[in-house]
Amino acid sequence: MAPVIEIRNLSKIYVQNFIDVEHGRLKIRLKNRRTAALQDLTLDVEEGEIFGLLGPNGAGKTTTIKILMGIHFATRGTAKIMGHPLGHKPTKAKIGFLPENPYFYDYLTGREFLHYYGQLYGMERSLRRKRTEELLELTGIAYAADVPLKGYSKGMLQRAGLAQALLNDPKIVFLDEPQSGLDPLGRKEVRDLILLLRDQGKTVFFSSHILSDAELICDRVAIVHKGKLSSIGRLNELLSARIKEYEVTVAGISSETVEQFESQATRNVAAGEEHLFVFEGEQAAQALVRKCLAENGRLISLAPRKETLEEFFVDQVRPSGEETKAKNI
Amino acid sequence: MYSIFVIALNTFKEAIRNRILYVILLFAILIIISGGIMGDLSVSAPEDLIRSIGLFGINFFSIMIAVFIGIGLVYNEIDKKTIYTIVSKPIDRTHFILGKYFGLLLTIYANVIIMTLFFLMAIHYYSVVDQQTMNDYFMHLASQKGSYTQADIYMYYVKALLGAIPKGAGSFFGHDPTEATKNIMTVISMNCFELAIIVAFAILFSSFSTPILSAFMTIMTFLVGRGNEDIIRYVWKLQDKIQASGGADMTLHFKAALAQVIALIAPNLSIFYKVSDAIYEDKAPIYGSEILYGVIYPAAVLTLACLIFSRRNFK
Amino acid sequence: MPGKSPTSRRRSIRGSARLGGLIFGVALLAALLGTSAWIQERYQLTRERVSLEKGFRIGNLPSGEFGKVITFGYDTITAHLLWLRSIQVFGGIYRSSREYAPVLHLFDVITTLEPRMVYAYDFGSMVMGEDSNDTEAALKLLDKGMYANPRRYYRIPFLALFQCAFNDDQYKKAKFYQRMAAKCVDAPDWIEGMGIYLDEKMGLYQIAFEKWCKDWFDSVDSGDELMSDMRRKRARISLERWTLAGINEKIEQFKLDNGRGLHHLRELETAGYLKDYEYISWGRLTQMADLAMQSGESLSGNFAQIIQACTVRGVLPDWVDDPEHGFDLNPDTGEAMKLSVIRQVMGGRLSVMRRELARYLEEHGAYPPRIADVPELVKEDGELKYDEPFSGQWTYDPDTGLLRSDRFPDL
Repeated sequence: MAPVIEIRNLSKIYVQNFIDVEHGRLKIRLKNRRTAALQDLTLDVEEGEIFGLLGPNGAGKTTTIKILMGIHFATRGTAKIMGHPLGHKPTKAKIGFLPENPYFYDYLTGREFLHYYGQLYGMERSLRRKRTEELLELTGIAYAADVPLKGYSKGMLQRAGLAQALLNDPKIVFLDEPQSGLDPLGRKEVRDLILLLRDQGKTVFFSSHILSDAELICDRVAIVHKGKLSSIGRLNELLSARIKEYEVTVAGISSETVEQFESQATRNVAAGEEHLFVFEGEQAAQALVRKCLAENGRLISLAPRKETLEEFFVDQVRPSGEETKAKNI
Repeated sequence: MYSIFVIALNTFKEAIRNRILYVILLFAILIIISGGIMGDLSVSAPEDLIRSIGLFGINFFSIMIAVFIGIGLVYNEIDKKTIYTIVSKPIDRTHFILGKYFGLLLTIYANVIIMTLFFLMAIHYYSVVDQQTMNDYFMHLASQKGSYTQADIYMYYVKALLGAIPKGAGSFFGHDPTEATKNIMTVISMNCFELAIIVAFAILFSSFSTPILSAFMTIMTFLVGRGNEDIIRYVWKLQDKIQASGGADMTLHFKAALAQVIALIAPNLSIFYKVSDAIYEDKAPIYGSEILYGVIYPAAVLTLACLIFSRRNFK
Repeated sequence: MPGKSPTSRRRSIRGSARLGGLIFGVALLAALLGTSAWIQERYQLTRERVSLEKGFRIGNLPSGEFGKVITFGYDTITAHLLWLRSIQVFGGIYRSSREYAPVLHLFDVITTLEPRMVYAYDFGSMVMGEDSNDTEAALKLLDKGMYANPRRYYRIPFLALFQCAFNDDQYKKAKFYQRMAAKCVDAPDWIEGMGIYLDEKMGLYQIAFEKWCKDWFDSVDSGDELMSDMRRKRARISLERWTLAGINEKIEQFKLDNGRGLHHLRELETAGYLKDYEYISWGRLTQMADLAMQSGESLSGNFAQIIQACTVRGVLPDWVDDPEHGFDLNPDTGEAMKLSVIRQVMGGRLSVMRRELARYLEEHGAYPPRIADVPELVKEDGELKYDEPFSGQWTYDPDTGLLRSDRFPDL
């Protein structure tokens, strides 16, 4: 089966002219400044999967989505959505897009806003009305449907943005940082919504720098850093199955035993009677458990710890930039 | 086509929910209906003054609306990133520009219609409360009833005001036209072409620069356009100089050529502002070539705007 | 630090600081307001010194052409607003200095901005021509108007005509403007008559006569009785003036040749001065016109033949003795004059003398034995104040007080 999104050698170089208007001010430089935002990105997204594009801020995630959405034009390389080159209008009609920190026409009410976008999709009036009401319910802003968008909070705007992205019942949904600016409850709702979309057979392409969210829902992820793809694959492929550490919490053991295992453990914490030991090896953990049982102590917990996406990500990113990691992750 | 219509309608909605519009409109109407008071100060032909002030008000304030609403329309969409979601929808960028253009034009034409209605009503009102007409009426009243009271005079004003409303609306729709109202309608319709050009420029500048800069550029374009015939006169003057000097001075040739090019490329807006004709001619002339120019020129500017806009990366 | 100081003290310090701030704020406000008021007062002083006229000149445009450039198409409205201003300025000048240069300049600017404002030319030329007595300036303004509106508004050349003919007696120039006015698209009929009037004023009686005559014939042909009657009368008046001018020419020649005036009008005939003199016989002209009218022939078509046929040569006009239209010598000037005019003069003299005689009767109870006994009727050198002109005699009867002239005994 052909991939629904094919990205081949996509590159984007931003050129800032030596004389330019930026943020309403005239800026003059000695020469043009070139910034490579994206370098030779190549990836495929299969139908029906939740694909996460991960990376620190400024890694090129948003640039990729902007190019796919036709907001920016690629300097080099090609991309195809559903087998059609970018800018193919019938394809555009089958995709939904939620930009980062969306801001919409604040003079429109929520309902008017959705109707306007429905018209842009060329939807029939009756269909438009039905979808609008459905999505207002689904995203939970129905109570504010007749309030102008300027009265919306950031979270409500995000919901309205989601609603417009799903208005045309799209085959592929592009979400740029869908969870940023939301409270924990909101993030969970978005997560549930993305899973719901997958269950409906839609492909979800989203970018995020909040890895814990991505970890919970992504089928596959691509990690980009400084405009380059650093790795791509299924989550369980990327994250090794090996157990990284064992955490053993025991209570009521003798001080000799504590001393004996302190030297073997990478870390240990004492809280009253309870002691927490972290071992790298399995033998040391088993030995501690046996010793504890033998001494009539209490085994409170034994937890093997797998590698997290976060740790994997830090590993990926570290060689090329220490400070980036420190600042953004 | 449908998407252009949808965007135009939304732009119209955006514009009419902008408070600036109403401030400008209020001022415009105040100026337009103040013509009668100014006319009273004139020793002769007060109706000339009423007409010239009214036509000036409609023209000037509709240009103000075009500039101050037009300059932000495209820029704001880029600045606030609403353009992101628009571009991802199945529409051309060209449609977006055209939609914005026609939406703004629709807004301005709606305002022109409102101002024109007020203007026509003012004309009818002032023609009724004219000194001569009132004297005749009250002389007649006095000869019939013997005398009249202050209340009669108030009633006369109220009647004049109430009568002016249907008459003004009637004149707008060409009912019972006089030469004066016909001329006014001609001039205002020609103004609409000028507005079409200015709005096109506002959209063009707004598509690649900030509101303040595009306001400045739009106003400059308007001034150059209105002064186009002065540039032509300057070219003639230079040509005379060249002939007189025997054509030896190359800087004169260069200046003349430059001025000529500017005069040809810059819009000629004075051909659409025929107030003088409306007041002093029995029938204000309309030329097909002017209408053609008024259609082709904005089309050219919009084409340029679309060219720039469809190759643009948005921040 | 704040923890160490007592609460009450802290409060009082804060209170005094607040009070100090208030005093400082009020003082600053007073100082600023005072300064601005002082500046305002300076301005008022300068404002009083600037007169209306100077203020107007400062606000004046250097030229209309300049105004045309800086108004960016809003020239009509600017002209109209300046027009309102011009009325004020005129009023101001009219009451004070009577210096008209600024008004002229203002009208120049207005008419450059809006060349079609006819009432600005009207008012401007009247102000310059009538109030300022500067016909040149008025004509300059009007010339500009004509240049800007070729063949458009008859009113502008007509105003120029008016300035020339009635303020300056420049009929030739007036005639030029009359021709321009007649060419304008909105020229009324009477502009044509204005031309004949000017022709007559310039002594071009023949042209005037021929025009009236043609017009008369035209209206006879078209059966317009009212117009034909009027034009016929006008033609007759022109003819009489023309004839009289011709006769006077011959009298001049006689004077030159003989070194003396005529004793009698017939002397011209006998001395052979009328051999090549031609005049048009009114009697024949009306006869021929009547004939043509009865026969249904076109009068205006045969104008040249009719005039030819009515031309008489070598004699005094046949209406010379007609009491209404005829003429005779005026011995005071030696020129030929209309009899009706002579009669009028005579009537006037008679009525004055009769009034004096009546007064004499009231005072003395009887009429004077001679006219010369009435002191009011005698000049210092003893001669009578009023002669019987045209070499006649006063007939006076001292008993009845009857005074007559033997030339016009019916008076």
